[in-house]
Amino acid sequence: MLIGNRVFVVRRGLGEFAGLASARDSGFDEGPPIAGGVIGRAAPVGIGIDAVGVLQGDGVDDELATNDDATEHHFTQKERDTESGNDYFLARYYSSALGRFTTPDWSAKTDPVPYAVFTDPQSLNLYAYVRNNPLTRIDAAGHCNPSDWGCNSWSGSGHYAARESAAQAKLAAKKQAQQQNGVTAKAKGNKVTYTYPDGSKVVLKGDHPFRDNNPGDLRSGHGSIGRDGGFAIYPSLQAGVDALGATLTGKYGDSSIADTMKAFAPASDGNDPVKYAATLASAVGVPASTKISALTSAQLMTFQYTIANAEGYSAAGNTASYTAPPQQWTPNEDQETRRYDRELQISSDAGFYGLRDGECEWADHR
Amino acid sequence: MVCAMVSANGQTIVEPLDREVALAGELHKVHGYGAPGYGENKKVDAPITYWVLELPNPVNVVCTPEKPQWEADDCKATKRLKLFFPSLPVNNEVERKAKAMQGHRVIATGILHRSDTVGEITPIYMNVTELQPVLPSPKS
Repeated sequence: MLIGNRVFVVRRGLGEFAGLASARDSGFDEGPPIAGGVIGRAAPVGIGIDAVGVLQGDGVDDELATNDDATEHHFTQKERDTESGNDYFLARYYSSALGRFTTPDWSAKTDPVPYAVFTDPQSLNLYAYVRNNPLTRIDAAGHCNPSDWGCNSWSGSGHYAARESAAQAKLAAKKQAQQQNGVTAKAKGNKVTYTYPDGSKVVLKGDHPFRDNNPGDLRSGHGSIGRDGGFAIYPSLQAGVDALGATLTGKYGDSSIADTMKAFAPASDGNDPVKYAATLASAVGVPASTKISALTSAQLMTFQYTIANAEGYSAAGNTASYTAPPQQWTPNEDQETRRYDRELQISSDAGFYGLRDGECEWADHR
Repeated sequence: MVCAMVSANGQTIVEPLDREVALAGELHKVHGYGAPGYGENKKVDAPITYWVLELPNPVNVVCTPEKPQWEADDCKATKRLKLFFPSLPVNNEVERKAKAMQGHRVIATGILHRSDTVGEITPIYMNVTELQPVLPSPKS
């Protein structure tokens, strides 16, 4: 099986050992070495598993269930106890044969049903691995530590959501950086002129949220590109919506929708936070008791747009105009043509008709 | 109550942000304008009412502007603090007290925050935990 010099450890999606393969056996080209010589989680999952299929055929799975593999690291790369056959997850043992932990998770704080999330019945099963959703979650230590933001255990949707939110925030920041790349904004009166790197311009005229691409009425932060009478200016509507989301999750992430609205739109200002929260919860499709950090990215997007609408963001009564970039002149081509002509003339004048190395290409292409 | 109050450039800077402070000023209920323009277009903007504490001197909190050139916008001081009574139900005790002390000098205790949105009205606001009347000094 181990033909050639390079041997790959082939792993499945959650990092468990799936077999050994040489590049030649698995059908890969002996090209540049893959980092570390290992096809791990960074490699496309399909390739890793297919490679084993090619290599070992139908018997692969049977082989994996034994303790005779070339490595002791199995499900999610956890070490397998050779006597019990269970995988050691630091806090608990996991039984691959049963597909669950051998003991329930526990809570240091007295709680009849620790880590229960009433919107997710799977959270009631204290034996399950990551609430039976290993496609999107991993468990690093076999136990949920509620005070640990990086809690990787089966429960605590808030922790997963917080982690997801952090990833989303990172992605949003990256998107904003891309969106604002090279865009400048200048506010004057009730209009803002956006100038793009290609020279095109967009003028938004109207109320603040519209002309500033700022449906959350934010003052600053999260990739803004200017200021307009106390309002931040964002390079696009999406950037403004993302900034609103980042502000909400950053400030109210640990609060429920209901509590967030009490702070965001307090009754002492004449608002009706209960009605506001109910409207948002209904739009998102979750109970008002749901924490902001527990919202998925799609739900958060709906949440943000619903707030934007409720806060009066509207294109109605506002105007936008677009100015195309100035006519592009191609100085390089023009200059090059003139250079060719000049050099040809020089060569000709000198009685030199041969071409030196490196000059053939431009001469031939003329 | 643990916090440092530093006077600089005619304003009082309160730090750190997560400690309660007590500030004396006049308590008022303001009728202003809300979304979308917050007073830019009074025909369109929604009328809103909110509580403020008018301070004798500007107050500020520690602030890092998003970009140095935006410091004047992002780190404004204010003599008018919007008061929030957020964690309590409608007609709560503190707000009931506020109604009774409207127009008078009071000591507001709470945590100061830099506004994230224009909807929070003033550049800095206070989440109030207690309101007390300032008693007139005894006549000598």
